[in-house]
Amino acid sequence: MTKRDGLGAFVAIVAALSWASAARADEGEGLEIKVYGDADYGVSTQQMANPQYTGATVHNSFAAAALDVFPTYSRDRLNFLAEIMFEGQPSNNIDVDLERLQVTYLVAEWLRLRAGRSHVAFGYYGDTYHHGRIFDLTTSRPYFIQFEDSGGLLMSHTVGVGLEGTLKSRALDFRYDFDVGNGRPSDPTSVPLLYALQDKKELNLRLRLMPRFIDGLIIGGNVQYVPIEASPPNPAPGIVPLADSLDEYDFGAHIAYMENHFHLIAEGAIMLRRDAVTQVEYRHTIGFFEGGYQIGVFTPYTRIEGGHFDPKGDPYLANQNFTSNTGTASWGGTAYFGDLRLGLRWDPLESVALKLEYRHLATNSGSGFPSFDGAVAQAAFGF
Amino acid sequence: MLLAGSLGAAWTLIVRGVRADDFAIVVNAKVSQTHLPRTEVRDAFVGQTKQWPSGPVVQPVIGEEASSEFAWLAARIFHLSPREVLARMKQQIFRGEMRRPVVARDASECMAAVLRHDGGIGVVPAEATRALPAGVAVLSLDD
Repeated sequence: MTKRDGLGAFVAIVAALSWASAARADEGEGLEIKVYGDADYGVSTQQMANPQYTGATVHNSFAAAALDVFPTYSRDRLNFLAEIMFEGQPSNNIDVDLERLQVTYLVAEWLRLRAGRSHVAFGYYGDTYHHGRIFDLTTSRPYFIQFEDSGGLLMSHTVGVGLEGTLKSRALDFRYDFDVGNGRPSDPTSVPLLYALQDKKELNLRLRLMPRFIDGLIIGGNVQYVPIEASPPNPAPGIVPLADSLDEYDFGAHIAYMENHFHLIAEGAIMLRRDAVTQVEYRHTIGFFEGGYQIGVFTPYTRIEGGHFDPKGDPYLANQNFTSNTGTASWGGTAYFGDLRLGLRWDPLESVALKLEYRHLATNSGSGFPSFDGAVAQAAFGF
Repeated sequence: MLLAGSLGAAWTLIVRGVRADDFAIVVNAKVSQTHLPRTEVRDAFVGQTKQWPSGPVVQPVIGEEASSEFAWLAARIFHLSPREVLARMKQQIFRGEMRRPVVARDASECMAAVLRHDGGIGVVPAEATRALPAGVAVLSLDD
């Protein structure tokens, strides 16, 4: 889709939805539309423009490449939401993507049914923060839980069904989430939203405890199975063929505390990918800590993230692009990485957040994504 | 940490010229609750509780951001500023965890909305609770 087509589609969608939603704006029910987006300026010691599309050598750049249209609808026990994302691509064209399209039905406090395309309930960050950057403390998601088209290692979107619910007691709340959805294709940047590429399905279970003696504390864990399909006979241009299908098993743990002006998240995961034919197993370990403390309208923050990758060379990583607002390159050849961010978030208005962030990323010398120092200024908004 | 939160809440109320007992929580009578801890009331306002034990779906009713009702809710129930509470609600809606709240401009609109929704919960000036319409009840805070 060209920029002109994309903007035309955006105007048409917003006009139609705004007209439909005008009647019941303050009733808590009916259709409502919000818009989220951000504008960035980044500097980096690394080349920022994607060499696949341009020969330019760029070490600083503006970006205004994300606009998220967010319609919601509620009626009694039924809730609907969608995220329609207008997103700049490395080629500098705009793509339209249906990032979420989910309908939920509340049966009881302990059972809510969900169907459609939604974020995988893995860890804390994955389905707490979505595409609207105004809600993230930092300027972008942790690398390993980026979205599929931004090089995320874990599956972030699922197309399928889910169950979730909370059991409450005087001592603690217990929450479960269970997803069943399509597995991943050989191209890790795509999500099989129209049809699955294999009969095997993704299965994910998350369990959480929220003890009442420390109000706001969340402790949880995940077990997930993701089938990854081998490449078709004629894979898309630019895709490194995946000879055999893979079975991925992910084990995660997370802890978060979000009360009394603290913002503390720690989570980690172990990924096991097993070649279905050769039985070779690839083991990766990834995790991060994110901390901030809000002082009035300012929140100083930090994030420390790291990962260690199996030296045998997971073939799926070759097609997963390590993407950030300071550059893009393949994860292939990466044995380890460490990332430090220091930043300050300022909320001058309830609908605007300004962030200034320094980052230092270190990887091994053979990585497709070299070490760099960089900084990002971001204006994120939501109306 | 809890002390800091409580002091912050008290300061917000002082700055806004609002006393802690100036307002009250009201619920639809079908909610069938007469008292709850502050944290459980907070959970109902941000979608952490989706259904009351008696069955109705929780429907928050809030004042406008600049209203004294919302300032009281933010300070007394959340120990946060109104802007922070609004941001938290928006995030919960964005996550798909919370129904959009009904926005009421005054006590009568709040009472009407609470009455209209079987699981309605809202904040009104304490003086308005002296003449509650049938079907609306006061919810006392345990702490």
